[in-house]
Amino acid sequence: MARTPPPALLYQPLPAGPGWKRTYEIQANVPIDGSRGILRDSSVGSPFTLSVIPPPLLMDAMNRERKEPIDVISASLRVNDDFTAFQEKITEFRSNGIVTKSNVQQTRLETLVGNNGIFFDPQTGQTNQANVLGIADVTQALSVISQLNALLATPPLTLLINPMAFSIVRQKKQQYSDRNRSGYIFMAWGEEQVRLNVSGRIGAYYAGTRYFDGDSPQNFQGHGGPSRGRISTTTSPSGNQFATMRDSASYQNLMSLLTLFRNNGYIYDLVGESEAHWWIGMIAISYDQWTYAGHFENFSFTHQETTMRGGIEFTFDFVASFVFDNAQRNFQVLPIRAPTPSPSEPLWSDPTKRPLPIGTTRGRLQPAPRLNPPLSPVADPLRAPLLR
Amino acid sequence: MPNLLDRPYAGNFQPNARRVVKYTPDALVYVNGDLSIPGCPKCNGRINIQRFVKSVSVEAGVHAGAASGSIQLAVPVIWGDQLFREGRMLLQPGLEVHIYMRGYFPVQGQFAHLDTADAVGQTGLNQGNFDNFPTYPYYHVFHGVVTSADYSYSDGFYSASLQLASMLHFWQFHNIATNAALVAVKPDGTRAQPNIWGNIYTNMHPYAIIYDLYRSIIGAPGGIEGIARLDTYRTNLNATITTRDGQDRLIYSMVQLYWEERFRTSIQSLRMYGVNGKLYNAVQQAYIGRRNSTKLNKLLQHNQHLDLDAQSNAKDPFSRSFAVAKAIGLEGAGLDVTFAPSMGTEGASDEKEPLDFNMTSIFAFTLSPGSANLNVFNTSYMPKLTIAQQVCEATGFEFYQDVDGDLVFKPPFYNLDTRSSRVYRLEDIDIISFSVQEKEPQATYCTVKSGLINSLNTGSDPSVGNRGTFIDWRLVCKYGWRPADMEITYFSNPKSLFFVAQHRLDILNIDIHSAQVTIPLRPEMRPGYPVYIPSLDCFYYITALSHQFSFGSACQTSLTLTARRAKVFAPGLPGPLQEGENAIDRIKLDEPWLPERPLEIMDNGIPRWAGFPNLVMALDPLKLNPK
Repeated sequence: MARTPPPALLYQPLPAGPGWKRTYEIQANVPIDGSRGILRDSSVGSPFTLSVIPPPLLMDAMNRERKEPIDVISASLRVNDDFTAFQEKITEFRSNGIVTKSNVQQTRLETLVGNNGIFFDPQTGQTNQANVLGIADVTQALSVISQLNALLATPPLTLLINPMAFSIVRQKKQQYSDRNRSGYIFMAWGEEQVRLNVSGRIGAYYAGTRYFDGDSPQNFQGHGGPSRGRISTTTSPSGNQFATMRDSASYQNLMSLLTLFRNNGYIYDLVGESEAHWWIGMIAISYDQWTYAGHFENFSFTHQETTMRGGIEFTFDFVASFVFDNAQRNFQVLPIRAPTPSPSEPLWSDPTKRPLPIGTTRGRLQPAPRLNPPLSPVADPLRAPLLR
Repeated sequence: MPNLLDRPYAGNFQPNARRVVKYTPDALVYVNGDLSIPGCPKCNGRINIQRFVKSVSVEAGVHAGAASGSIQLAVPVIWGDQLFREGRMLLQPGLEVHIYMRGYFPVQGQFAHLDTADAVGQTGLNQGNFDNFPTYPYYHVFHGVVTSADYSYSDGFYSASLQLASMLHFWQFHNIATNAALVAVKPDGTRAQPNIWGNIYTNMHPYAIIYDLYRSIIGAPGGIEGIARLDTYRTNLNATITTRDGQDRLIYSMVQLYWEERFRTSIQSLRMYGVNGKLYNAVQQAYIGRRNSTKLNKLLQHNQHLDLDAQSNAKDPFSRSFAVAKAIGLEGAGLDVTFAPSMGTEGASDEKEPLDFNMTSIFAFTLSPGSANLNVFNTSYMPKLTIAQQVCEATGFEFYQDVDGDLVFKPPFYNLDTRSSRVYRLEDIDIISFSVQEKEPQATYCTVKSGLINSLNTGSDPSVGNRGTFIDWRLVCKYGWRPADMEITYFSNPKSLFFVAQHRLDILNIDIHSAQVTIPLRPEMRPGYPVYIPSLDCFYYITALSHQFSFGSACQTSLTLTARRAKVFAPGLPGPLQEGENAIDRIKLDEPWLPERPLEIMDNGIPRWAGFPNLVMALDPLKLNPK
């Protein structure tokens, strides 16, 4: 699951606007992650995971019979919907005919967009042009579909290290500055959208030399590395130093987060290369059995002289349009126990009931019968990207 | 721990009850039909001005001069050197501008034609779902010309702005020679003839006038004056130019060609509506627009035409004029032109008026004792726009340029029920701001005068002709005596004049209830249609709207609304119901001085006030009958 972070390359197809494109180079060494992977398992810990949600309005339109005009107000959810309903919407959308089933299909689609709707078959030398409509541009539609497929194929991004601080700001919208003869006029407008302030720090820059058994061809052949056998000398940086920054898992994790920030759930105008986005999806942040769906407001990270070998600190603000509480009653409430066996614990006197250290199997914590099927704190469908 | 929704102690909290609408506005500015303008004349370079546009504002309304706009640009120095080179500004008055904005509502079905046989099929996508694929269409929101352009330089940046006016702007300067001089110097082919009745539009019905204005694009040349001796008048009115084919042509005829090309029907259409709101197609417009009132009246009163089942020679489009009317789909369309909203034919004092109210009998320019006049040396001109406005004044119709550039001549659609259209329904979530005004009426009683004979203006002399006066006593009680007068020629019996006065008063006081609403940019909207506001349960009529578009900022549509239509609470006895008494028992329609008493109904278990149904029919007409 999320214990092993996905390769940074998987975030390359994510559209990030006409003015920004993240490129990837072949990496001769291995990014090393020094964090504890088990903590990123949602059944054990509370990983901080971000994922991209396609435009709900577009999903609504595709998931139902044609009916005009589309109700922009109920574009995403009914009031009583929970995150499971949202996941089902995405799952249904995945079964749609516009989702490509393979990388080959997706590449063809992108080629078609790039050629303004004209498909060229190098095998036969034949060209085939998509029908062009006067009102709505077919190339635009194909570009939207291509980007949707990229969104759906993008795996969730789990931060290798959870943020240092995660604050949820709920702000009341109210006004009471107007006066009348006997006092104040109080106007209550409910709440502003939930705002998240997140700050964190990435790990050290670590990269290791790649070992391989020689049976399989390696990608870095021709890039300075030997083609077979154990590496004796390296031409790429390794260890913990500034030079391994771009090759390190921590920095790549940060750059993937930056890519998500750039994408922000938008479907960009990549044909006209304008900032007039075509559709608006969302970013979902899952943490501690809550999911916040909305958009980044800002994102910043700082290089400092004291963090030349990693530990860059970053902050971002996030405004949530929807908030879901995914908590489920999975465990019985039992007496608190010390993290290590201690004679001061009340049950210490009874050896049969004596608590065991965390991690041992004869535990006192017995899972209660599940009332509901297990629910992942992040969008399950997004955890299983299509053939990528 | 259960989640928030399942916690019994937190049952009063529900997340996500508040909606967040996400939309993506966009605007495109076309200058002379292109997204870019010609730059360097030597290399045929073009300058894409889209990258400089920072804000766009357009206005539209149901009045002829309502459509206008402005564009703000910020131009970097490097491009400013191209746009404002050598003191010559490429952005100048006369440029034709089209503005499109991206719609608020996505639309499905635009890509249903995509199939697996074409290039899309090569991608392996399933064609079936393209039927549902939604997109945001772009809507035409403005068509006009640049009337002024300016630029300034400050702090290393050029700022430019363009002021725009609709194409109707030219109608102010395209004149019709309503009565040309008998002896005059004028270019060949000029449509300027003397008219013995004083005006070429005398006793011409409104559709014919508007159609004629639309067809006579540039109108008549100026300066057509009579002279006694040739050596006393020097002009280049008949100047010629040698064209590339070696022929000498009148400059005036070339100017005519230029304007005809600019306003050719494929660019700017005319949309004329019947009194009941039916839109005529181009053929029907031509048919109605080219026939005079007499012919049209005869046609509309003909049994063959009014009887839908009549066959006879109706299938032969060349036999009789009414057969032609049927052939082009005008059968039964007599009611589109003629309409009797409150006056039945039964008991009409003048039986020659079978339908009482007839659009083809309404003349903006009528024959009057002093109007017949032959000009010997002078030519009378009227701007096309002034003529059109006079037609609107006489008919109560609206004439304006719509957001898509078409010219519209239609009755106000005050009573249209637009509740079912999401575009014209303003839900709570749509409304950014809302302000309502209620003001005093313009008039509390109205007098309508006419001559003794239809179609003859006998002037305002009270001793000649008939009159009808309607007094709204409720308004008089509240606001005093505020008079309004009107002279018409299409009715001559006092009863009809009374009802015309009643309707006229309604029109004059239409602005009693008005409102201003601001909503997120909704370029789908057009002026001249009502909007329904569910939270207020009432309609308002859009007399003007404006789209304010600013890149990187809020994009909003502001609506100017009038003519509120809301439910009516009938007069009734106040106080709670007595035992055995029904709520309807307390309604007293014959005692209008009583306070309003709303009917309370249960709507899904929620008490709500309901208007009194069919109130107009329920009122006893005898109480208001002038007889």
